[in-house]
Amino acid sequence: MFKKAFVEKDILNSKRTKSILEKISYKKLEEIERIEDVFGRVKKPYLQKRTDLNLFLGRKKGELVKIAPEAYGTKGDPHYYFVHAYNCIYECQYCYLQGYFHSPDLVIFINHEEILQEIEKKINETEEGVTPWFHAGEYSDSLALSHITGELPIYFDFFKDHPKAKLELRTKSTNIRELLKLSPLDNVVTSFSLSPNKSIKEFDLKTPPLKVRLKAIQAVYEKGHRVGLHLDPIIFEEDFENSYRNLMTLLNEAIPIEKLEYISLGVVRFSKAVFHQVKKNYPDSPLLAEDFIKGNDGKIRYKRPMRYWILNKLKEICLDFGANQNKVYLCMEDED
Amino acid sequence: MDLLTFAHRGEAKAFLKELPFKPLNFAFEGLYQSNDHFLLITGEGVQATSEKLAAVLGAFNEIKQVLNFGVCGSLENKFNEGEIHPIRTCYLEKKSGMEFKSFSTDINNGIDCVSAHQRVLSIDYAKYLSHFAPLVDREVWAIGSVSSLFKKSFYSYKYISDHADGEELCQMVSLKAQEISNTLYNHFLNLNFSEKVKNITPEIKGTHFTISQKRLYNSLIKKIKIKGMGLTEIVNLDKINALPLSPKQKAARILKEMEAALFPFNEKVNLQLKNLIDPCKEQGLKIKLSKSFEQDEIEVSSVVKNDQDLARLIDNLKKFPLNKIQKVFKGQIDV
Repeated sequence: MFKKAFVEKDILNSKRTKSILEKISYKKLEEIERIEDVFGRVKKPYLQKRTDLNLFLGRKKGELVKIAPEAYGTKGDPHYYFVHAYNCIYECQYCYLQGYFHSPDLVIFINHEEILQEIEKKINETEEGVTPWFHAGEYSDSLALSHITGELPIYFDFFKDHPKAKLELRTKSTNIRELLKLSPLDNVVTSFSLSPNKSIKEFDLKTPPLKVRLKAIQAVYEKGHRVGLHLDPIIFEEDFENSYRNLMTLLNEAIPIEKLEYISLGVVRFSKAVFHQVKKNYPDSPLLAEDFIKGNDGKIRYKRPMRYWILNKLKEICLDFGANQNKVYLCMEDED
Repeated sequence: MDLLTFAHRGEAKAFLKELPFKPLNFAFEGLYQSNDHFLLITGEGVQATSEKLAAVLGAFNEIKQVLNFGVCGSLENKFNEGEIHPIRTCYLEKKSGMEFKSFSTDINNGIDCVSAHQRVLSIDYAKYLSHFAPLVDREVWAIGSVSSLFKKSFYSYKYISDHADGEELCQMVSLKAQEISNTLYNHFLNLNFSEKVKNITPEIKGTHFTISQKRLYNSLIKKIKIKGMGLTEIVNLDKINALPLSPKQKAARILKEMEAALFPFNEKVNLQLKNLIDPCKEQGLKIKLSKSFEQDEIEVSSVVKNDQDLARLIDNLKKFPLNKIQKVFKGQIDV
């Protein structure tokens, strides 16, 4: 799977490192001082992930827990994300990781205890009655490699002891084997990103098909885990309304819509740098035939009437299917 | 015309012998021309290569692409001496560390190469470079960098002369120069370089596009292609051509129809806004909406000459459909 595995010298002999290395295949192991000596030092073309993907293992340094951007999650609560990996095995055409690290190589950090110490600090700083949220999967898929990285039990143990805080695991994966081994917790939500099947096939390259994702959602829900839904990014298509009604019908068969912890809606958007990468990496993508504009925040997106129409229509569809009004929130967009 | 580049004369020997190159009287020695190609000896290293290549590309605009041939060292055992590989992405190692910028050819199955700032004479140095690419040379990054600056395609083919494991092999390479050059030349003969057919957007008779209209037209043509449509399927060009319009007006009409066909949602938004705004315009109000309707603000103006005009303006403003327009901005529309 990996061309080279680069491992930081300090963790080369750690149990966690050995466990990860035993579970993956790689052509060569390279010992390095620090990940940043190699990773991101040169601009490695994104699509080389198809043929020359490297893996880096090391300790995350610097800020381990960061404040999430505005409108990241449910309103009113403080939201943070923590970083235990960079990059993703999937290849979504709109993905902002294309322009983020300047390298598609995967980085896995193994110092989870240090990350959890930082999370604990944030929890302790939070005033009584407020629920701090901690999101995994800002720079990587939370479940896709969980059978290799093995960190899920560590986070579940921690959040079991910290019931006033919530953990969100974001994924497009169907790799739920490790999750199903764990006892569900009220304060841990696994959130799945979904799109209509046509969109998945067209834009979410190398991700599992809708049918399989729905099966995974059903299994996670039936095991008793809390499930959230991200309809993000939404890409307009000709038969938009029917397409999303069909999606919600299928989802409703996997999990009653009213049982979803929340539904977040977000219309496709790009930074200028990411859009440039989309043009370079996928010159024939239907995304490039859309009528995008540069918004006031510098993001490339649909024109405002279309964005709002999409969000309003989709919210209406969600409510028609029984979603609780207070549990549907709009991501990165003012709600009117 | 293509430009063939080599670091050393030895690598170019076979090319100079087999093809009818003649030296050109240029700012420096080492530039040749035949009927079909230019040939440049750049010298070793990134600086010499950058300087000479930039001078040549600046002077000869007829050069469409740059083909580099030369030797490189292998940093991995999987490559054998004597093999020739096309280069995919090139990186640069400077005295101060790695250069962030990289340049890629469009050969996706090629091999990556790092141009080192000095010859590889130690195993530690070779190991460090191997973190970034499996091949090492002294020039190819400069070829990519300068070609990119001049917006020319570039390709590079590297003969693996040795495994960069710390031994000084230059002398041996120099002894084998003729053999290496022959192999590179034979490889060159087997390459099939035809200039890529540029996507030329169809010209339309009887129209005149301004520069910005032309830009929009080209962009819309690309979108039509992505959507698998054809221009004549969505725009009746004959009908527009027969209209009593000026060439500029015809161009504007064509663009409008292309946009309407490509983006029917926007067309509906525009129509609903038009229905709200046109009656106001008929009453003498000038209305300016924010670009792409990103702001709620609407600029309304009118010329007032007397009390009657003022009274009419006040009346018109009272009836102005501000809320309805803003609702359209916020997506409350029938689609």
